[in-house]
Amino acid sequence: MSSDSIDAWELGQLLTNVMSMVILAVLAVSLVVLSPWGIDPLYSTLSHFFTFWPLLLLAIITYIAREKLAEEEK
Amino acid sequence: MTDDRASVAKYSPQDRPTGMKRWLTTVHHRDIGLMLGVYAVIAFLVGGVAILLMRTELLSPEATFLAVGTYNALFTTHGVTMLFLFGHPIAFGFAIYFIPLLIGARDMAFPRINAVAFWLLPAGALLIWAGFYLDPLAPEITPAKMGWTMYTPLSEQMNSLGIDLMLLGLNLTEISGIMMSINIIVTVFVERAESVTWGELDLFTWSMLAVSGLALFAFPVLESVIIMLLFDRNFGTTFFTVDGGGPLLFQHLFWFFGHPEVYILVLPAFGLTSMILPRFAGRNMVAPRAMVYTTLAIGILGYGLWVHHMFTTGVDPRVKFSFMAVSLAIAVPSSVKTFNWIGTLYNGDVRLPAPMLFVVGFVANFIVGGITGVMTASIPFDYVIHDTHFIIGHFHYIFAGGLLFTIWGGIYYWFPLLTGRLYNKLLAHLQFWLAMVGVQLTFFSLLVLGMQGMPRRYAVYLPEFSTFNQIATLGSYLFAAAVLVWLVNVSYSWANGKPVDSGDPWGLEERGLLTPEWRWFRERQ
Repeated sequence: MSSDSIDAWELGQLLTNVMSMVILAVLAVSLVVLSPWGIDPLYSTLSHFFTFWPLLLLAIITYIAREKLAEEEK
Repeated sequence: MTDDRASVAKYSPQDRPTGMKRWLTTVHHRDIGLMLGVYAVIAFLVGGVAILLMRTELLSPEATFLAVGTYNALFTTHGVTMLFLFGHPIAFGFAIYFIPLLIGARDMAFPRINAVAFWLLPAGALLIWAGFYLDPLAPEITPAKMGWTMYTPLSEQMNSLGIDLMLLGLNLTEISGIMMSINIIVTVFVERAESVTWGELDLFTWSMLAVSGLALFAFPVLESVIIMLLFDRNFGTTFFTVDGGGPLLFQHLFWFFGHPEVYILVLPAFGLTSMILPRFAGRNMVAPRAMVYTTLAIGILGYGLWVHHMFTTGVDPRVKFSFMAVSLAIAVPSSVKTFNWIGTLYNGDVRLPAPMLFVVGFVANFIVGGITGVMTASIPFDYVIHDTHFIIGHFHYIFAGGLLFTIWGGIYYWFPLLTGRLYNKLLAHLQFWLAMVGVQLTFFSLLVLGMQGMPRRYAVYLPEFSTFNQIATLGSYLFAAAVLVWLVNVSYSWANGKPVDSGDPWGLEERGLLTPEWRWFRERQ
């Protein structure tokens, strides 16, 4: 398997982290759509920052780990 | 680094000092690992005596056995001791002993820093416990009584030198943890044998790498908090005073360390389970890459949920919501690990010696601890159980029923390698069942008490909470009996156990599951 292609088994393993990202994204979007506490420039920004930075970091670290592991299989 | 390694390497094993001089001067990773283990066990016994005294007090609703102040001092020292003097050192002890063997390194990357990191710990422990043993000599030095979380303004306003000494001791233990973390990270990155690629790296080493990464960012924050608190207490600064930075600043900074701390303590348990469970399931770990990805996910998300410890402090609901989201999201990697362990057992050739009993016991306890954790991640539920015994029950399912079980499993698994002898199987099984029943009686009772509304950290309580408190105390006595059986087993077997006659005492090679440390052991025999 090359680092450019993902088979079903590898995808299944990657999905473990993708699911966490999906949960974060869905909850962040629901906060915008439902907006139960209204929009506040400071707190709404902070809220999205605290949701998206873990999401972004998780995406980056998962990508790097996957590349490293796949690289060595080539 | 090169000079350090070269000067260490020039000593062959037979050149090393013997007797006490060896232990005082050693920089060898196996010696340091063993010393960390012994140190952690001593700390564990101190913390264990503290909780037994507290549980005895809680047999009756009134404070009849201990003075209320003594109770407060005991729960403070129990928490600090178990987390900082037992949890970290025992996990790092395993790592420092075994990682070089697992990755084919000659030693840790920085052997002398390794030794310095260890020797900071006894000094730290003496300072942390100083309030107890100096109290009779100097009345102004009383034990710290503010809880392991050290919340301000209480910790600023309490007038006791014992608190300052505890903070200084914590500083030393955290510096030690930072040193060990750096050492582990550099060792794994730089000292791996060429054959040990990232894909070949075992899951215990992956876990300890994640632990070290977490500790590297979390421990300095606690260091800073402690120093600021010391300054507030002694030099009139206002970092956390009510009219200065405020108590909430303390809580934010503390929990920015404190929540990764939970994962710093549980990831070694994950690593040990992923190492031991497949050996006795007769097959390799299911989806090992998923285990790596989830370990990294826990390492990342563990930093994004500290405010879930502060849901009741009046943080803006929009901000709280985002921390709830991350707290729910981190349940996924933890659950995936659990499913992988169960999947590895499915259709496996399962054997149940003591190490396997303990790691399977961990999985069972972790499910309870994990699910109660997801419950507390929900803001409305957290409002109900905040600061009750539910939180204590949840956390102890993870720590006592989790980390401690895997530590016991790890000690039994590697006992032949560590000592060249076999442990007593009957005593080990007896210990497991005493501990397992003890955990359920104690900590499930605490979950129930929390749901009933009993607050934590009180020596006296309403009579309606008596029954479950008495059940919890009975459970803690069973747990103490398990610890006693373990100590007897390990100390007797170390001296008089049957010598190991094979380099592969668990029969792993015939199953294709032999790992590098056992190969090393076989060559050494």
